[in-house]
Amino acid sequence: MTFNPTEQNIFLIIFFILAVIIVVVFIDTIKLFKKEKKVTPPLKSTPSRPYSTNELISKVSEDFKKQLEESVNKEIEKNIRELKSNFQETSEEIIKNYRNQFENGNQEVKKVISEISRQAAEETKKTSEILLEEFSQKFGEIYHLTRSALNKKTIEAGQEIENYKKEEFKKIDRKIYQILGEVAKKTIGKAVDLSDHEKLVMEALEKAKKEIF
Amino acid sequence: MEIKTERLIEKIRTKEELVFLLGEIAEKKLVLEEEEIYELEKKLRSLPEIKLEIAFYPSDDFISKISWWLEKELGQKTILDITVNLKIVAGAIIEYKGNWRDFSIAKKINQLLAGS
Repeated sequence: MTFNPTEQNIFLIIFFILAVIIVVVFIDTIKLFKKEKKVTPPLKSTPSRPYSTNELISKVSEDFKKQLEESVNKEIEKNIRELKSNFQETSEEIIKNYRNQFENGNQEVKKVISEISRQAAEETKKTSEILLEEFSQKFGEIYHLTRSALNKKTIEAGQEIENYKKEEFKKIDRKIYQILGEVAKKTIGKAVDLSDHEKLVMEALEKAKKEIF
Repeated sequence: MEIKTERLIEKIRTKEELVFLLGEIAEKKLVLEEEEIYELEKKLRSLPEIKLEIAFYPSDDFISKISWWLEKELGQKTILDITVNLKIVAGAIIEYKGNWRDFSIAKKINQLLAGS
């Protein structure tokens, strides 16, 4: 449990100490007064001076009063001194305690702050590490996904290019064969003479005889 | 009289000749009996026809040769419907009674190029 030295608490403590001191002084005074009363002998037995009882009592009372006053004053002064001293000592002690407590508190606060800083730094480090790890993981996943997607797209694009090339080559081949065919037909057509034509027609008729006649 | 009709039919080799003869009959240029004309026309129209697509203009002898050959092979007189198409290069495309065959050199060239 920590002690919180506020101004109100200090005032209450001082007030309490002063009240205790006043009570102690008051009790001492009453005790002293009672003691003096007991010590004072009866004035009747004084034979030196032939005072009347009343005068004697009166004189004794005055002396005693003076003596008592002095004694009380001394006692009060003494008590006040003691009180002052005690008060000063107590105050110094309290202040010292408070100072120590403050210092201890400061130390504690410093310690706590240091601990908090250390923990915060540690937490930050841990969080950073976790985040870095998560980021690395996510980045890796995204990288792999993107890479595989790109690879797929590249393969698809390559396939499309290949198909396109094949189609184009087929078209070119068809055109080439068409041209070749035309050239061949013209060349052969010119090269074939009449007797060959007739011979080929007769061969065709022979074939037709087998197939459709 | 029948001999005269038979001779007329024998002379016919191609579709052009048939059309010409039918035209003569129609114009009554032939000196024949009515009944004979009827019979002749009937016979002429019943002759089978063979379509020949060839790549040259055939000589008269060659037409006679084909006609004779066809009559011998088919056992009856056949009318030749000849078309000249230089694109077939050589050989012939033949159609007979709904059957069609391409024996042209153009086809062979196309097949060769398609196979390569």
